[in-house]
Amino acid sequence: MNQIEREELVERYLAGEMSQAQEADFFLNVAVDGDLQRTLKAFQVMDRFIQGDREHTAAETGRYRQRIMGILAATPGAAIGTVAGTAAGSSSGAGAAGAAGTGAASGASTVGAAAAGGFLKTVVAVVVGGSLVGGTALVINHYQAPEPVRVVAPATESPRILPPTISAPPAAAAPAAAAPAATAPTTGAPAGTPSQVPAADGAGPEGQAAASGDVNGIAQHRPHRANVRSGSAHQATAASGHTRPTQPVKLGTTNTSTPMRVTVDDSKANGKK
Amino acid sequence: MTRVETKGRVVNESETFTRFLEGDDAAFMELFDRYDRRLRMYCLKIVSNQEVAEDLVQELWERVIKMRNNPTEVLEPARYLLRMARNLCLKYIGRERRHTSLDDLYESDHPTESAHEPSHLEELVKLALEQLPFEQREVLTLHNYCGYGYEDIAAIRGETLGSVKMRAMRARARIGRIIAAFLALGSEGEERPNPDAEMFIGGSNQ
Repeated sequence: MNQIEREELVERYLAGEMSQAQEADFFLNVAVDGDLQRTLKAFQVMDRFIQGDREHTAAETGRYRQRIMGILAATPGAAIGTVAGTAAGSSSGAGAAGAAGTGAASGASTVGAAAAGGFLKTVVAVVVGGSLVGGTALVINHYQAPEPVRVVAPATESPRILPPTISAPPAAAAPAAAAPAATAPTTGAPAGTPSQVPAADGAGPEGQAAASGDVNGIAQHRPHRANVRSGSAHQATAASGHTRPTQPVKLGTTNTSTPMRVTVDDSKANGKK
Repeated sequence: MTRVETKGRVVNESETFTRFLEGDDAAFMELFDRYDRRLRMYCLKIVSNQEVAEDLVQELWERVIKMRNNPTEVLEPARYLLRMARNLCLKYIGRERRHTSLDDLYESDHPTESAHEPSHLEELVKLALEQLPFEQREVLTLHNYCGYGYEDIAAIRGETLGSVKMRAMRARARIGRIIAAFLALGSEGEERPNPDAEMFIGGSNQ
């Protein structure tokens, strides 16, 4: 029996491919053949080493995992591109890590990322949303706001991603209710896909929260959000060519400094009329 | 039967990858849990440096995460990820061959912070494994460390099942001979110096 034959025999034994009779025969050979005995021991040592090595290496997982999770949480592109992909109808650019300039999909991306991830992701998403707020020419044309941060972006806010709790609180509900003509179409259309709601439901609150450094500012801005929604809805519908009363647009353009308040005033004015 | 199971697994893995691309972080965790250890083990055994291996796999996961920006359908994530790891390792090895001095190599290959002090025999097996030709080492690593079956390895490497098995057998035989020579040397002292052992000891002292 040469060395190769010994090795094949040992491999078959270690792989459990021998019958009982073959195994008995193998052990007889091992007893009389010192080289076979040594070969068997060498292969056993090797397998034992590999097993131990494998387990030892696996012990590093905890620390390493944290690093990867950190990358997942801190990668700006995560969850943005895909959401932007679903809202491709209104996206003007690749969802590349929220680089400035992407238009209407930014709202969906922002909210989507905030809903999908944890705190860090929310921070990233809010910052990205804020950086994109001023990127839409429609708003700039209509509002002509002197301060770009205050301009309410007509970015899409994916209705399916929004949690049901994000709605106008009682404090804001009153002025919103005072202008049913303005708010109803906007709030009544959340069932649509982002492409169906092209540029409504502004992401302004998130953007403003990011601009002011208030990460948890969504709740604080809720009253504004309700108002902004109506305002941006007017503006968006006007831009998208829907037949809407021209009144909101007119009023929106009369007061350009603070669009949110403008809309409130607009609604109240409508109510009085 | 195995075929069906394999197919079923591939389908699930593909779906998981798709969910991850759609923004599902839980799907990423699933992929990470399923493949990270294998990939890390593979890289470690190919580049023989733990820090580098972790960096390479980290880079791999970064690339995977960035795939969300440009989603691509991946039908067989296991194979896809392994190919990525393989490319990264080969790239690293090629880079190191051009730039690394011997001093750097020795420092990085023998970290002093190891919690486990290996015996001479373990050192021997480790060195024997590292000195295997790349093809044999890869097959052995994929099978013995990463847990891939020979059929999977054949598919990953684009080889026949027979040639993969042959490579694995040769790799194991090579290591086995070195260990056997070491054992023979230990049991018989200097009376019968084994040529294999001499060859190995000479190689390890380089």
